[in-house]
Amino acid sequence: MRLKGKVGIVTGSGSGIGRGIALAMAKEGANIAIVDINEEKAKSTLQEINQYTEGMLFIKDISKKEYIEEIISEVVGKFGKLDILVNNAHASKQALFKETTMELFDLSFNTGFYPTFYFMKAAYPELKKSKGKVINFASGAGISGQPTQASYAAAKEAIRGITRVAANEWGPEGINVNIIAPIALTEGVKQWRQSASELYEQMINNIPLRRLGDPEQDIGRTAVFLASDDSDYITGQTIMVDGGSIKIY
Amino acid sequence: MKIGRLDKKIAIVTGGASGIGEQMVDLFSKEGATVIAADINKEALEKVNQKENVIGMKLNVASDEDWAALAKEVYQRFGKIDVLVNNAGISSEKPYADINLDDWQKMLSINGFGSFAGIKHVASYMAKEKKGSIVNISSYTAQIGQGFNHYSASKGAVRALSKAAATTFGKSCVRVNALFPGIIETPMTKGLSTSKELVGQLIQATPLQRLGQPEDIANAALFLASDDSSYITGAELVIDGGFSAQ
Repeated sequence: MRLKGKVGIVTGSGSGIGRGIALAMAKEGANIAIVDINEEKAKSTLQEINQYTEGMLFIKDISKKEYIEEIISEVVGKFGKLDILVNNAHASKQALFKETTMELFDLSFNTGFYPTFYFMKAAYPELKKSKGKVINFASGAGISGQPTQASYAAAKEAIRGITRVAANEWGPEGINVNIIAPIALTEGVKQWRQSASELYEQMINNIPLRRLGDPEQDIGRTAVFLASDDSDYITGQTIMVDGGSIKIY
Repeated sequence: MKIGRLDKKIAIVTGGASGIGEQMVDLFSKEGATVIAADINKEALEKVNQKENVIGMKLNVASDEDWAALAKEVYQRFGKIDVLVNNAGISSEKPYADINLDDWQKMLSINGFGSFAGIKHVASYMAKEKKGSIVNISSYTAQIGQGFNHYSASKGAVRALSKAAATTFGKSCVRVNALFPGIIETPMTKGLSTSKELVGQLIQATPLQRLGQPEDIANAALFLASDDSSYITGAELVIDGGFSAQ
């Protein structure tokens, strides 16, 4: 058990990649606070977590920053510490650049960038005590500049920026801050596959490993690595978990 | 007993008789793998052969023939090869103006061709089984200018090669990734002329405020070798305490 006794918060863990990470971490012994806006899905993740360790449930809209400090203090109140912070939640809508509005930017930054920033800030005193690990999420859409993703790409690259700053500032205190840039077969992608099977095939053929990642087996286990002692000397880095799609320099 | 993270896997680690390579060999065998420690140093191999689940084999990584023979022998004996770590390498601090063609060729043939030939001979056996993980060792000096002139160039070759091979062998489900160690405390780096004062400065300039240890690299290699990283290929994993993130 590589995360035995650790305590983690995973945002957006009701479904998809967040759920995969929460499960992978619980299976390695971590207690997990699930944060999601969707009650039904979050409860189902909680039930799964409780088969392995102890979960906590927060049905919260984390675009409201007052909830964030509340979540941190409740987690620490219950478990006595915080070792792992995973900022995974992010909502956005695709639009062509010329049709992208301030509202779309607000959606992307308010659900993805600001919660990441405020969670890191609020968790910092606890992470300092535990010599903890932060795992943030970026995207190939940002790194490669995928069409129709202006608001998402901007927020994701902004997250990469603050991740490196925090890695440098908090390194001397023993806090590691890294990024995963994933591609995964989530429920959303499964739906899209049904409606656009030709595009889906095309996309798969452009991935060197010819498949999408699994939220738990691929993305979750990479997050476990970054949360474990095995990655103690890795900080400020972006780990591509994308089947070889993008090779960054 | 818990199941190891490389349970029943067959792994080859070049330069496996000392330094970081030896650390990897020990960690991989502890995690359930049968490890072939390939090394050019015959005496060191004798010590290796005394370890459980570790087999020492002589290999000059710069030799195409040596590689062909080793890959064939391992495949015939075990029926598969799951993991290859191209770890063997040499270093040099020779000043730019003093490097001649012989120096260049020696450096590039061991660090560059050594990794290339390993992939060439081992990936074809991995492709037969539609599974495999290759880990190359580049260096932070391939990403940022730090002197180490022809050494950096050879590690730059490893960097580019890893990405090219990831694309070439991706559809055969053979993954190829590269590790980028910062300054790691090993016999090789301890031999460098770097003064204590400079080491102190380096530590100050590293966000995590320490030099890397062989186990930091071995742990990262274990992750990339294991199925935990099964969707990662063509990637770069920098293990430098945040030095190059600044």
